[in-house]
Amino acid sequence: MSTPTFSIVRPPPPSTASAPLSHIPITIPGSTIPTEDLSVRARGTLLSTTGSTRVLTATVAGVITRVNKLVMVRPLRAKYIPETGDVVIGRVTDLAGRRWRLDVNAARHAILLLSAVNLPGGIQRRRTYQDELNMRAFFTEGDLVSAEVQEQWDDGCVALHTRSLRYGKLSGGTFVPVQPELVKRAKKHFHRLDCGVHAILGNNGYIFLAERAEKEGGATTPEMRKMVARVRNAVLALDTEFIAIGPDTIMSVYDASIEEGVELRDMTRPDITAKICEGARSMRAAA
Amino acid sequence: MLSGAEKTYIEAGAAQGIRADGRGLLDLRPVTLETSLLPTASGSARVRIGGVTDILVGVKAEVVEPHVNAPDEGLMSFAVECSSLASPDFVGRGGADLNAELSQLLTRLYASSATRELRRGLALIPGRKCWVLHVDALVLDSGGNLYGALSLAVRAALRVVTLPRVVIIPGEADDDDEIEVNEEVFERLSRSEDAPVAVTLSAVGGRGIYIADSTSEEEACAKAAITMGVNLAGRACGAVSGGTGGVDMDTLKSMLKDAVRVGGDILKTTDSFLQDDIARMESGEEVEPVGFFS
Amino acid sequence: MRYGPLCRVTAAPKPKTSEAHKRSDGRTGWEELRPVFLKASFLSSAAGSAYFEAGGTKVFCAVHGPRAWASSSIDAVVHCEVRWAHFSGRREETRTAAGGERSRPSESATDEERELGASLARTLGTVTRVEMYPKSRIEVSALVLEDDGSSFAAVVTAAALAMADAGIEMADLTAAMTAAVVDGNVVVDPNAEEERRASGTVMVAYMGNVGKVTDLVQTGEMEIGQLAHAIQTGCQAATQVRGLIKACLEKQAGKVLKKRGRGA
Repeated sequence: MSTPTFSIVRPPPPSTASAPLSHIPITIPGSTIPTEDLSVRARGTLLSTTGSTRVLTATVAGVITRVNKLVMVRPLRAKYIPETGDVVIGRVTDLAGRRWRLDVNAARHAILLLSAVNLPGGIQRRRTYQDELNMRAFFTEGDLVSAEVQEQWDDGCVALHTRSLRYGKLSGGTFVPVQPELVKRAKKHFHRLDCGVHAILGNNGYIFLAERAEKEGGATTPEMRKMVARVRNAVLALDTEFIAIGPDTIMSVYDASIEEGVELRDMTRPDITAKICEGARSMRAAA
Repeated sequence: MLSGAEKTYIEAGAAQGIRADGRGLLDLRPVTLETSLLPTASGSARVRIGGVTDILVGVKAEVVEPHVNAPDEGLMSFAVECSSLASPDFVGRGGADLNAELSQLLTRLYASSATRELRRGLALIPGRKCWVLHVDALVLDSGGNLYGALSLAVRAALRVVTLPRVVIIPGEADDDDEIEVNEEVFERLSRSEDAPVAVTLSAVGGRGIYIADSTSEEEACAKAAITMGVNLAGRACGAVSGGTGGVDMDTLKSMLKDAVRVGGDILKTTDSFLQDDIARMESGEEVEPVGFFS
Repeated sequence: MRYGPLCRVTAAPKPKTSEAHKRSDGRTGWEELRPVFLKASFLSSAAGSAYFEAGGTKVFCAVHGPRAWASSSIDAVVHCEVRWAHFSGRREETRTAAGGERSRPSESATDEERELGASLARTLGTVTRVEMYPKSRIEVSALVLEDDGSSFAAVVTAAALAMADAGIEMADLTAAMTAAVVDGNVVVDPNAEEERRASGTVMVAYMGNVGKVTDLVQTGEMEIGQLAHAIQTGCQAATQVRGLIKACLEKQAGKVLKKRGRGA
């Protein structure tokens, strides 16, 4: 039985007011966005009429971003907006008919149709009546599932599929939700980190860390468990410090925490996260 | 909501003595504590555990008549509110039940002989006038170990409570004494160090395995739990069991010992942390409120 | 049914320089606002959050969602809950002091809290682009921690900031202000003592850029001319507060962008 210890800290001192970044076009809802071309606009904007003139108004607080002719406002705290091809982790909320509904950290639930799931017996096996009755045997309420966004429907709902062998129910690990914008779209979302821990980084900010990939057998050792815990705390530190989360930054924080001799239970202390994330931050700033 | 797989991972981890965040079974998450944030209150404190459980406590004092059963003691009343800020689920009947449960826990913690001297310190004219401390707690965010965070915030607030000095003016007859409240001079609450903290130990996984300061995920896996009020003297000041499943006798005895140990640790660490705040109170230094969330 | 904005306020004239009129909290102008302190994003678990403080009035607001919600309406539903905490001045009036017992604060909202919740929902419903979030629900929870006057106006302002913090699309930022008739004078941002003495008060929620009043709550007795003047003055003051929300969001943006390590 370990000796109980715990740490108390004061909240960090009031932040010294930094000079506003005047060169970054920050806007707020209701403010006019200067633009020549009113025909092409995207999220975060609204075309309104003031008197006889038509103006483009911002609808969120954020940074005005122009990509070619497209003008949009990127909100400061972005909610996850699913795009086809995204790799996500979802939690099953309910099932009915021939589909499951999953929470994917977006405004709408995602749908996973029975026909879009890998079933034992091969990919091309026909879905039987038996399958429909046994839906809970595949995924039940609360299960975590890795999947890919297949398509978006008109009403804003998103359809997922798990038609590749690497997708499916997740087990043998721990779930870590972070801010979605910290998980960039990349070639790979399934990683085996240098320390041996497997990480699935969902575009939707849902992350799963396991001590081994699904298919291998064997029990988890205490050493592996500690490594998973250290990776978990490293991910949360990156989330607190608002640094992009990828295999490189995770391992940077992981290694820094070991070098600095930071105990597992102290890694999430507000005064410690900044220190162990220094390397990761410069990694991303340089990129 | 947790998946069966996550529960298995948590339980297997507990069996090996390692929790998902790397803590040992009786390790506690980092705590952020600050006092004297509400200038209109006699004492206040805010406790955040692990960045996910957030409690604010304010204490207001008022002069009233003591209870007929305890004429030489003052009074304490507790009200806990789980705000909808923490979760929209805290609204309505479910929230009301939780509020009542938490308020009751605090009432129980402070009702025993362990805090009798504290209550006697609140008496002004026996049988006629005493202070009542209205302790109001607000749950801003809930991420596990509500009892622990709540009792810690209440204790921290009480440790920094100051009350105006009261002078007794003797009257003609015995029961004509009057009191005069001196709003210029303030004194600390006596015997505030007797305030207990609550330690919750939750049984997770196998027989004989339990954890302290559980997260919301761990609470979803826990079967039975014991919450015990612990004071500096190492005594139990109010305990309740929770959850389903029951605990065997040996494990229960072991839990009681560990609760006292963990509680003692919390009390000592908190008190040495609060030295600065208390010293400032004693010196009568004015605390400049810098805006609630500077 | 969606409520449209109530009336259009014509271009606000520059506020007249007020004569020095001493108010109970030391302010020297009828139109002088108390210093305001605003903070966004203080709750990590909510989509958006805001804290507003002016004088002794302290208000929190949290926004959860948008979450999927099966309902008959296509557009998003904005559901608001406004509560006064036990700490606040208002609830204390309902306490009994007999033997230290006090009436347990009612778990369900009082009628007044319900009415204000509905009022806030109307204001936010008008300004939020609900068509952008079909079949979902946005939950807004406001809590008045301490009440030293103008508390509902503080709630509306905090709610607007919390919504902006959550990144929910709105046509404009709403700010609100209370004006009260005290001793025959129209004073802005009354404190608790002034509110008690006032013969009438009016709270206005105002969309600064668009120039429309989205909510109006008037209590007590007021002459029509006074009411119109109070509304006008309230809206001018609300515009000042809107500027403060803007500054707060810009500061927040600066902090977030700095943290991201992107300087340019």
